[in-house]
Amino acid sequence: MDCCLDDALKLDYLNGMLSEKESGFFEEHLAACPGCRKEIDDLRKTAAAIAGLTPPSVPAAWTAAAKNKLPLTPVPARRRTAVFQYAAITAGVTAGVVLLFWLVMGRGISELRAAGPADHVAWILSLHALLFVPSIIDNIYRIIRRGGS
Amino acid sequence: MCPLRRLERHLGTLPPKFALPVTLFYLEGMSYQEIAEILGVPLGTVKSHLFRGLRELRKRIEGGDDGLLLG
Repeated sequence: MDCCLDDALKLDYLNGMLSEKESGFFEEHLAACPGCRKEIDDLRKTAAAIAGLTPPSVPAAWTAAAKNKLPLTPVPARRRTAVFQYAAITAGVTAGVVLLFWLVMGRGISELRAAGPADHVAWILSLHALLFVPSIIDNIYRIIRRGGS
Repeated sequence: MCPLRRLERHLGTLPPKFALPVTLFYLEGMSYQEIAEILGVPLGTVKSHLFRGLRELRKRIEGGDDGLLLG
């Protein structure tokens, strides 16, 4: 049915999106135009019937299609989890390194002065091993994340 | 078949470009703007497809002797 009013205006009226003043003008027109009045009445009943359906009746393919079109935004909760995970790994590795030093080099600097060259080399190698700590943390983190995804 | 099931069937036969805005607006309660973002179309297109979808559905209901749905 061809009516005299714009479709977008009719839709906004149906969905209650016109201002009070606009609705007043619209209803004045409806009172004088049987064609528009019948169309609006039919469409209102159709919209009410649709609204009476339950959301699960929407075909799953449509919902999937809609979800696929959603913009990919970072999920804060997941990011927080990642930060905590990284912090936990860092704390664990640091604790491990401290424990290792305490076990291997627990004698302290004062006793080391009296130790032989082999102990000095072991100390130096252990200190160099600290350079690998960030890499160890990073790799553990990557392995965990890969395993979790 | 009960009237609501028939309405679902009519909705399922609409072209997706009309059915999606209709279901997202009337069933999921989304705004025009949200639907435009999800479907990646301008706001005017959403309104146009929503209205045409509603009109198409009404035609199918009337044509399918489902007058009960319209009260």
